[in-house]
Formats: sequence, C-alpha cells, structure tokens
Amino acid sequence: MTIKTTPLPMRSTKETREYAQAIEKGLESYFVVQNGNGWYVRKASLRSGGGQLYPTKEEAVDQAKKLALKRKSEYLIFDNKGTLISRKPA
Amino acid sequence: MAFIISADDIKKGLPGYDPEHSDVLHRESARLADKDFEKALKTRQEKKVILMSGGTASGKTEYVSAFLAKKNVIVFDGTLPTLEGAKIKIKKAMKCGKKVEIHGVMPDDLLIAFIAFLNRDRKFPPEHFFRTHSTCRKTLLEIARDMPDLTIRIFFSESIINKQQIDTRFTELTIPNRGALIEYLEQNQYTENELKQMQGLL
Repeated sequence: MTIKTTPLPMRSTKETREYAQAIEKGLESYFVVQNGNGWYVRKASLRSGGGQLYPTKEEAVDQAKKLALKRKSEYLIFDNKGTLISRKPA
Repeated sequence: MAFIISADDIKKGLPGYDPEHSDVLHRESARLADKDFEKALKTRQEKKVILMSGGTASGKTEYVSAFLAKKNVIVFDGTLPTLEGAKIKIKKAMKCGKKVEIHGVMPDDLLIAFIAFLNRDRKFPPEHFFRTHSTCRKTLLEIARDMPDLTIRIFFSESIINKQQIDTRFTELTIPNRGALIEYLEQNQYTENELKQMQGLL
C-alpha cells in the first residue's frame, strides 16, 4: 500500500501555542509507575521500558520528588492498572 | 469563517465549570453541542460539514484553528466516540443538504499527546485519554467500512521539539483507495490497555 504524505504549511494559532506550552511543561515532569517488581521512576518524556526501579513506593516517590524539585516540575503516581493516584508539585 | 461547535468550548460557559475537573460537565456540554449542531444544520448557510475525529489531545482543535477556521464550513470538533452517534450526525447533515467529510487527526507520537493531555488547562482523568484514543479509531474504521462514499481525510499531528520552541506540524495522508484506507485504519487500532502499555503505565 502506497501512502503519500503531504505536510501542511506551519501555522501558529493561540491553540497550537497552548498545545506546545502544555507539552513544554510536561516534558520535565516525572512518572512513578507501579510494576510487578516494584515502582519505576522515569521522566515523562522517556519511552516506556526506561526508568529506575525502586522496591517500595516511598523510595520511588522520594526520588521522584527530588528529581522534580531540581526541574521545578511535578511528579505523577500511577498504580499497576495505569490509573493516576496522585499528582504533586515538587 | 467556519462555524465551530465544540463541547469543550461550551463547557467553559457553563455555571460551575472548573478546568481542574473538566470531566464533570462533559456529558452536559456534549448534549448541548449536539443540540447546537442540529440547530446549525437547519439555520446555517454553509454547505459543508466537517466532523472531527481523534482522541483527546490529538491536535484536533489545533488543526481546526490552523486550517479550518477561515473556511466556509460547519465544524463539529469532537472525538466521534461511537458509530451510532456518528451516523446520526451524518444522516442529519445530509438530510439538510450538507456535504459531509470526516477529518481524523492522529498524533504522530502518542507519548507527546499524553504529555500535552496531562498538562493543558482543562483536566480529565487519564482514562479519558486511553478511552477516546481507542474508541475514535474503532469508530473511524467502522465508518470507513459502513459508509464507503463518505470522504474521510487523515492527518498526522507532530510536535517538533527543539531547544527554542515546540512547533506543531500537520501532515495529510493520501491513501489511494477505500480498501487501503480500511487496511491502514485496521493496522492502527489499539485497546485501552495497549495504549497504557505504550505509555509505560502497564
């Protein structure tokens, strides 16, 4: 199957700028994700499979808090079903 | 200028709207958007209706603002979550003599779309992201199969991240025929759990 792609001209609007701002803000945040083996801490922009594993939620949250503080961002904690449990500014 | 109907915009004007809990008034604003759409079909002069399709934070509203806002069309800026709902809108529009097109917007990178979703002003629980990105793709595929004469155009939204700024670029996919479109859409179906896995959340 041949699919042709045609880039549209770049256009900046209030909506595209707000979208970009949301991404910019979120790139520096951290995810704490529960996994069968413990809790992963990873930068939100890091592809899945990356991050540092911690045996307990407390250790993972501590680390996420430190990292988020450095970046002046926030951290989001997800349970093992991918549900957002909490979201906190560092 | 396009006449744009958006449940998200309607919501902002409802009493008690809180962007931190944008999901609370979603049902009511969606109902009002449907009502506005029906009224627009009967009263507006525009000959063409464009129904937007795409998961939340896929770039639909941004695409509408950049490429449809100045056109002489009626735009329904929603996710098209069900085939039944889409068919009702399409039939009503056709009955009013309008030409209907569907413009589907898919993010080039679902991780970046998820980050945008989590950090924009209006907040929804993350489940909303996974649900809409799964259901809108399913609906689009069903429409492609069930309504072979309906024009469906597909656009990719891409956020180009560099040190100075982030730009959003749109690319249209030109797919040679309906069979190929159906094949393409079939290959781009995801369950909610698959989407969560792609975000590293499962």
